[in-house]
Amino acid sequence: MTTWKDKLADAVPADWGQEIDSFEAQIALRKQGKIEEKVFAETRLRRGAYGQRYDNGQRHDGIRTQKLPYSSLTKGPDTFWEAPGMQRIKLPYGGMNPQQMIALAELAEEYSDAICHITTRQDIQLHFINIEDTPDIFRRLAAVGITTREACGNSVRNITACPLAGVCNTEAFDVTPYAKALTFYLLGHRDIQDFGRKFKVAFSGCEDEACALVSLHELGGIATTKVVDGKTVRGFKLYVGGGLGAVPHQAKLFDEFVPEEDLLPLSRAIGRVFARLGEKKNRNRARLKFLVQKLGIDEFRRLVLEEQRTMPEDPAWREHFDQIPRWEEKPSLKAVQLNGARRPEGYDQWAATNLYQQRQSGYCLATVTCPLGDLTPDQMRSLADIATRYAGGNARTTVEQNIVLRWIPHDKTIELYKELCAIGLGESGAGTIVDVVACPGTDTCKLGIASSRGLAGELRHRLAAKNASLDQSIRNLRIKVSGCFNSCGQHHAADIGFYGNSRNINGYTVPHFQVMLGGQWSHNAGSYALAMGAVPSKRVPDLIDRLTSRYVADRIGDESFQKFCQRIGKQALKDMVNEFVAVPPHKEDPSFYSDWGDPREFTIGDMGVGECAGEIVSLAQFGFTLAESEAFEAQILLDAGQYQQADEKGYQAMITAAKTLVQIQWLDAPNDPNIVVEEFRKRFVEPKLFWDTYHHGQFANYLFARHEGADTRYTKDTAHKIVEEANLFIDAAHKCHAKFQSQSAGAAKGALAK
Amino acid sequence: MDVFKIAVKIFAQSDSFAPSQFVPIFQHWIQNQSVEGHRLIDVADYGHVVGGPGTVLISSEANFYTDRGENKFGLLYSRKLPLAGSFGERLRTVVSETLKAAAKLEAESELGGKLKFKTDELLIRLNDRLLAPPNDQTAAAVKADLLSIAKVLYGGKPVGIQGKISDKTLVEFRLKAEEQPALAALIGRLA
Repeated sequence: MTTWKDKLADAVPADWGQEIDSFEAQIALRKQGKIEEKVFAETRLRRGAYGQRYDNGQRHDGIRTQKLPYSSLTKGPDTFWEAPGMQRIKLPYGGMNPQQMIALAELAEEYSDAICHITTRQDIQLHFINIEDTPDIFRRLAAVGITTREACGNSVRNITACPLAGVCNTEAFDVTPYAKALTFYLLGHRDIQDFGRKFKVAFSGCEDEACALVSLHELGGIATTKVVDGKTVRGFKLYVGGGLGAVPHQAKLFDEFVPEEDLLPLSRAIGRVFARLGEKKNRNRARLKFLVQKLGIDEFRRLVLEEQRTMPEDPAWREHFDQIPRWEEKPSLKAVQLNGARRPEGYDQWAATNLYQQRQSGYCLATVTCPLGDLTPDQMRSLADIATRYAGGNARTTVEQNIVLRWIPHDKTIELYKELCAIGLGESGAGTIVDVVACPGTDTCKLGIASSRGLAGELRHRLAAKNASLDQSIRNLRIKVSGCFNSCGQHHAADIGFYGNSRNINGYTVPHFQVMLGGQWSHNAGSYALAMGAVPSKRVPDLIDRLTSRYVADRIGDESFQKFCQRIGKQALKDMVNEFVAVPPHKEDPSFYSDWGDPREFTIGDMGVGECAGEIVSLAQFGFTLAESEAFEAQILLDAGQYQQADEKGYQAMITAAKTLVQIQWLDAPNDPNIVVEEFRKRFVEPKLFWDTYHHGQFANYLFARHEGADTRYTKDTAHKIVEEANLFIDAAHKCHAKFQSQSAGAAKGALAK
Repeated sequence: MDVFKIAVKIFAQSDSFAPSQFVPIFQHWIQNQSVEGHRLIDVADYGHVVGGPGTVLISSEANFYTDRGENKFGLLYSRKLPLAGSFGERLRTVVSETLKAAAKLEAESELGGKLKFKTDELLIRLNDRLLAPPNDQTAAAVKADLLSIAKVLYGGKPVGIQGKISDKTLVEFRLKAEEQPALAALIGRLA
């Protein structure tokens, strides 16, 4: 039978293809019980294959908790293999070309529930995915230049950027190529493989606009320039240690001006310091923000600059940096101003909210409103076609869960609007109060407490119905909803934000939302909203009416909602919130006891253990897992009669295992097999750490002999020998690692005793 | 023809149903695990997406969509897990599951008997671009099985079969009969 692997062999970049093959081998090994579930969990997370609600095999159906009868195989702790999962697909800076959009549409159609979902980090997510389909999904994405590597797990997540970058009227310069360069420089980089938690990066072109919300990121760069020796040079105002979650932190200024050529090496140095000093055991304190807080920004800066000076050379950054000047985006059509053409009904309203006049005269950026970030495969395919014809193929996702089409000639905006309407994507109101942002919440997230999407959908529906009658000051407010305090809906950066929680009332659990008021969207999320107390989920729409009516009535001049909140004070805000906290008895109004869009009686019993934090898996565990999957691939090649390839893969497996051991002592050990073998011999074989009481150094000799040269007859027997030896070598490496660990622990204990 | 990801849509006589109406119905189906041969897992509501999948009942074996594709409301059953037998046997199973789910929906008291499906038209889609690439060979490979199932369903009476082969979309076929047998009769003919 034909496979995607065969079909796309020439289209998938070789290194990406090898990674996917290894992952497929790891799937096979996990099914055979040969990989620990925790290790497999972090492995799949680092490929973007995430868990999903109810994958622990139970679901409350409104009356009782049902066991979902999955077979016992797991894909992570308390996560059943057969349970559907989520696939996150990284789109650096949200960029998509038409070919990629078509691929995303096809994958949503064939493997998920026929929806492409745009996230608040410019990713695309597919839900209800079978883990066994993921290698083919990865291949089909790789064939169009998309990798899911490090989309989840304790790694550098999708690097976001302002969707206006390159066409913005107020930016210092286009940050797109920098976001791209840093993405691919850090992708899979060995220095970022040992983080205790995820690491988020964003780039903005301006300081005062919302752009990429730099303040809430681990690492954020705002484009800036300065004149040096009469010449304008580019750089970044660099921030570190921001983050949302249960304990939000505003990022701290690291440097007023980091020259552009220092961006990549400095980011690497920050990653190295985080990997070395960041918390690993307590995941609740493992984000960079806690390290920066603990050390203080001055000490953190000192350590990073010291690291930058002393870290080993890595010329790879230069290759990525050199790509930056080559970045360009081209329109497909010449710019022509709209000149008195007849405008269809709805166009003016749409243009007022969804069109942005680009810096480049005669061109617009059009925002395609995607309700709750969702669109169908047919819509995505049609958008790909529209992007090709009108926008030079330039589309990007946004953190507000929409898609922007860039470089639309002004005179084509009417035709564009008609075409968007024809595919159900002509809704106006982008970036207004109607355009409510929500994370997946209880729909699919294991951590969700209340239905963020249910609430957002209800608000969207109600606000759209009265949009025309809304005061202009209200229309421009932003509402953002998270299903829990982990803040994936970015509720801290909204005028009016909510996050899900619950209250026990009269023996029932009632869905509630914590009200967050006065967050600042502009100035890169310059300040966060304040919690004002929780209200029952079903009272939230009434509360919004109350808050906005008061704002319209009491607003002074063009006072922003944030300033308004500050002026009237917390007590006045709290008083308004308190008007909506009452919950009627169940027999009087049972609707309060279920959530929006979900008629089941509410429970928090469906919450599972989240995978956002990933699993703490040591570099050594990863290394050995990779070696084992390479040995497995060697066996497959042997079975297929590809003896030379089996020999080479078996040898590679031994090198990987040896390198894993060397890295315990020398983190920056290079990949060169000659150096790996020499260091392995010096550090582990000669001191008799890699030593068996019965076989002595025999297993090490397998590697040394093969390293001297292959038996070039490449017969079934020679290949079989190498594959067998590779497996024995990996077993011996595991034993050596265990021995080394117990010796280290003993030494530490001894030192403590003294 | 190895493809097992087969989807079949049966269209409703009226479009006047809100997607949210199906949420409690599908939740009840899960409570009772009332679709034989399917491990019912969850409900996803995409009623806010124009022309979208509507409300979706997710099971391990298949998704049940109250689909609004082509802006025509209907029930779309989309198989996910492999089925035994030849392509013709798999197709027959998927059509049968679609019809049975449609009958089950029609019988839902919460819809007050208002939902009725048209039985003179079925959309059959092959949801796998690898095993069913959009080309004439695919069409030729499934032709006999399409004719066969049309004959069984409509008792040998004339049925138009229209194929859609486009490199942009999945391979699909539309069966159009001249008369509308009762849903129960169609189910009975496949039993």
